[in-house]
Amino acid sequence: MAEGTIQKNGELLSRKLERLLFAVVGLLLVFAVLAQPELSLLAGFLQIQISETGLITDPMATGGVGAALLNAAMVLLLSTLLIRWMKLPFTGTTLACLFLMAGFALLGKNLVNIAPIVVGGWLHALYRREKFAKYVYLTLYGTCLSPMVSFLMVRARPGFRWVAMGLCGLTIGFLLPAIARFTTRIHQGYNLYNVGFAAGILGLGMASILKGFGVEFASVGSWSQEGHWLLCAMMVLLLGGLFACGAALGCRSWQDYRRILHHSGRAVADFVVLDGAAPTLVNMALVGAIGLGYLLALYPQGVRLNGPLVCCLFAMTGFGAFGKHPRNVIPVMAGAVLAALIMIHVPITSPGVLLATLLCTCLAPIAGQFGWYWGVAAGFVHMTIVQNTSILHGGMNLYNNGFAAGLVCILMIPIIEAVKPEPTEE
Amino acid sequence: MKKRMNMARRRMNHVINELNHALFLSGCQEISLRLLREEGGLRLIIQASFAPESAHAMERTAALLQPAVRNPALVETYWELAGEDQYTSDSEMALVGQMLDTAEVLLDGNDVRMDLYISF
Repeated sequence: MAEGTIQKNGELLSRKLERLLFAVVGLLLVFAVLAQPELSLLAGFLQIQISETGLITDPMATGGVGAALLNAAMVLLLSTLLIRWMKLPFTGTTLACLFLMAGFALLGKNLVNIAPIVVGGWLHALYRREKFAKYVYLTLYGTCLSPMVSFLMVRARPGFRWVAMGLCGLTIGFLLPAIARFTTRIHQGYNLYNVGFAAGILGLGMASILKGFGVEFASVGSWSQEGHWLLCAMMVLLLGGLFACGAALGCRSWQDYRRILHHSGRAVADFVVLDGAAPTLVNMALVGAIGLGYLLALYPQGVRLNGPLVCCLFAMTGFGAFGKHPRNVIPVMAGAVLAALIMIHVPITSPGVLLATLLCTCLAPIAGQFGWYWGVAAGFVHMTIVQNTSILHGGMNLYNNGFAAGLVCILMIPIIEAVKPEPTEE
Repeated sequence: MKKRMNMARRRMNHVINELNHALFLSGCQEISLRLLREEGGLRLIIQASFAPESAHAMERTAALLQPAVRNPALVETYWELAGEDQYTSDSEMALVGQMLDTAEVLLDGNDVRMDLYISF
């Protein structure tokens, strides 16, 4: 095919994915109004912007279910517009990043606390005399340290708080891209939440330095139980919509879909680039459905959908376009569940364990590359390590599971490569 | 400009590593590499003959090196993973495709000719 035709097809595809993201914004807005059809929606939204966040803080408990969904819609809308403004193509990477932005707006990100980090990322690009477009994903992912910004906004001395939060956000945004580029070499692409790992290291450094000056980070936990069925309906519509879009774009049989299952998922597995949009959208729906199915199976044990859990479902769904598929996520989740069942102090329905079971799927490439048994082992080790990582950054890194997964990779990848035979050449 | 030249050279080294590895895995006995410094960037020309049973894999490689969309933000994070280890897969070849500014891959029987370009 001629290069011009290939590029034209690429532009068409990019526009379709862009429209899909605006449709997700619309879905979140509709459910926000359905959940809180009165003025408390706006009051709750404002309350979320000025409240403390962190692991595990549920904005649905802070401002209400509708207000949290409105926050997610606004964060997703502005992030999508930013990427559009940068004239970047919409591919699997974009879907993963933007679904993560929307999801984590249900677990701590808001318009106020992400703004200084984005400006910091822009300053990084300016300093390096490069286009901000190159750093926009790293910057958006870097907003996972936004609880630090909120913490300083709420807890710093009056008169100094806006300066403190601004400086903190700018520092995070400026430093994180450099660290994130470095950390990819450490885990070799086996941790899909690379910036989570980088942010954990930066968060550890910043929390330690600030502790030396008398600022000790501590997150205030909250966990709502309201809005379960409404959130279920929203997720079913979202996943059903993705599946239907995938089918409409041409993925209508097992033959059309199955190629995705043969990828290891190791970064950079942008499924839109590798296999096209149609099977990717179907895969996103299936990966999200695995997470939703797991949570609904725990309904009799009292598990109800809320902000943090919907956040995990968004993260799983988004990364269904960038590395995750049913074949590589199930072994890792099985390992995490096994660990939770065996370990004494880790009840399977506790908030941290639920999050870890869904988000440990960032280690899916280990199962994809080395086999399901290594995936089970990775999930098991992840569940043990993640219990001890949030204390290192004071609960200020929203991608704590990405941080833990990076440590799992450091521990496991050299061992696996040492015991696995090298690939043979013909 | 010096900084950009240095970056293009480092990226091209990764591209060469990955393609060497992939071509040897495809049964090539001899790979001819020609690297040229042009006014605006680096051009790599590769010629090789692959094993007949690798024809399908080579077609896939050609498609991945000439993607429909190139995402510079994706490359910024991950480019150092290309050519870094003992494995080669679709995803690493797709990364190489994303790292290039232009690519032309011609398959003729069991022969392949690649003209790959990274600008400064």
